[in-house]
Amino acid sequence: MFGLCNTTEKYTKNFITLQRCMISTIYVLLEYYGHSEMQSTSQIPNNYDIDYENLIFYKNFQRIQPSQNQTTPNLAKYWITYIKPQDSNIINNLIKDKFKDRCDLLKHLKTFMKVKVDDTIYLKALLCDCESVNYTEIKEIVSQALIESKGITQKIKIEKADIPLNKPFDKDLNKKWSSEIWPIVWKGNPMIQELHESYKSFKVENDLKYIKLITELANSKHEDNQLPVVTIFVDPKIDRIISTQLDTRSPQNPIKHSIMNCIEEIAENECCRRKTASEEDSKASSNNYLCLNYHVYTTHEPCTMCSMALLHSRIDKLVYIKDSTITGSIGRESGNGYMIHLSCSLNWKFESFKYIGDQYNAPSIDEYIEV
Amino acid sequence: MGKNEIPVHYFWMKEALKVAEEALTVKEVPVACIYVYKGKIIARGFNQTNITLNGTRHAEFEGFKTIRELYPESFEEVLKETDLYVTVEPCIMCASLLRQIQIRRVFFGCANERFGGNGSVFKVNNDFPKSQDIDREKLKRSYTVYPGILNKDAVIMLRKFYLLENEKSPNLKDKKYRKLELQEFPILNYSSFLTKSEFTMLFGKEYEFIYDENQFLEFNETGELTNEATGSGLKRVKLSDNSFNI
Repeated sequence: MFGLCNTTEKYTKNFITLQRCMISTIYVLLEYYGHSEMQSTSQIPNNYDIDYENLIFYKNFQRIQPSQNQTTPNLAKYWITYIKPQDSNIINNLIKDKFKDRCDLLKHLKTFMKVKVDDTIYLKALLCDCESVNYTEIKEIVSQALIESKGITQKIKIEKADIPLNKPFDKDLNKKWSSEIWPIVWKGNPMIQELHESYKSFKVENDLKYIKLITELANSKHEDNQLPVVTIFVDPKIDRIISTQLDTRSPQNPIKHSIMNCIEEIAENECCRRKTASEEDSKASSNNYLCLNYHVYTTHEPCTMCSMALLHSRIDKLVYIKDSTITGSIGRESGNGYMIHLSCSLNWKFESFKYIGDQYNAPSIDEYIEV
Repeated sequence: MGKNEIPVHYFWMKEALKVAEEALTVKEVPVACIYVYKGKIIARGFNQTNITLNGTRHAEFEGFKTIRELYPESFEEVLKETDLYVTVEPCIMCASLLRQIQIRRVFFGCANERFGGNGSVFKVNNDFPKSQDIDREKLKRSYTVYPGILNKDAVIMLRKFYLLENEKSPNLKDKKYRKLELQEFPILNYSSFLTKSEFTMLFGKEYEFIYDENQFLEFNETGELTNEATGSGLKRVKLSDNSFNI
């Protein structure tokens, strides 16, 4: 009975692998054809308004991401352990139980890597990053898991291994990294996959509505000595504006940039609310990331300080209108080229778009000023 | 600058650590700083992100606020001659703040591996924009950072906080996670933060080996360096354990 199950599983797995192969062949083929062919293929839906070459959604929003032709892996150190193949379930359960957080970042990596040590086959199992857990702790966690499920203590070998955080863009590179670094799942060109994921959650009417609003505010409200920079924070779940702020810097306080003002306003409001709320209410809102998954619309590409403030606040998406070519910290060519929204991706990252349509415009400002 | 100054930096960092102790007592992540102008502390600050619910209220911002209130007319001029002593390398956001407000120098204890803006992730303190046609005169000037002053003490402070957090967490009931680790410390790679000549300008040519071997700075009670060269010239490698937004 057990054996039968295993065989069926094996066939299903093979079938899936076969399907994957076919899909990847299609993607490889896609790379040789132009962009028009791409859209007519069944793999890429006809009704998606995406310019794949320039990464533009609905002709108006350009996604800010690194150039896709990166051939070098961005490596991170992860803990691995050696197990016998029959113990793979224990590790799978352990990961589900203790290292849930890592899953999203490492979806592209396989959990196990087959290795031969003295003619015996072992699996190297990927555990968690070396920064969040130290050697003693990880060793303890693994040995606990093994004792609990097998009832015996055994020698455990923990090592550090390099793993690639970025996905290889084509199949050959996938093969190369898989054999040289760590096995990677190939599900077709990751750029196209990622673009589609991002596109599916994109609500263009809302984005245009908020872009219109901030440009109206920036073009009307400011006084002579005030910078015409406007930011709004939106909770996309309820499609409601949570904070609207202008740049209010003055000689007395030069760092009141619009984004910093929004974050401050949201925090102060919530502090007030919690003070007046009933005990039960305040218990219910124990989340201290107040801007978690918010959408942020701003007229000018933010400076390094503000971009990093957005990352610390764990927003989901940023949309800006005007490039800050010297002081900006998001655009591929801006400032020092940091692309802050992706720079600490082990911890958090957010999507960034530039509005490139000609319907709405933000006022020009001195390009040496950080906003 | 020069090695006669070393005890001064040692004692200022001790002051910053005292402020970090305060943070611990109110359950904030114990990262703290002091701003020193003309030999006097003009501001103290510690991380207040929990109490304010504002993820940007790092120690550096708190101290800057105090300075603005203290010198409402002249804080810009004051800051140009002010040094910052902070227990942990400023994050990218704070590193940018410090450049925008034109701090003179930054001294810190341990590295901030995930978010550090003075060398760990980026060097916000002395990067310049890539594009060619830029008037450098109009950009904010860079500042130099000196890492590793009381490195281990800064790490211990963070670990004390993690232990308090673990006690609250239901997942780690095991007593083993409640022991304060005092033997292993993440090694600082000096060359990520400053050049060898910047290092020897402050610590003296005779302590060049500290930089070469990535040794921890060791002080005696009067704040003088007590490091000795191992002669092996071997670079020590890194281990690390931070996991909070700092």
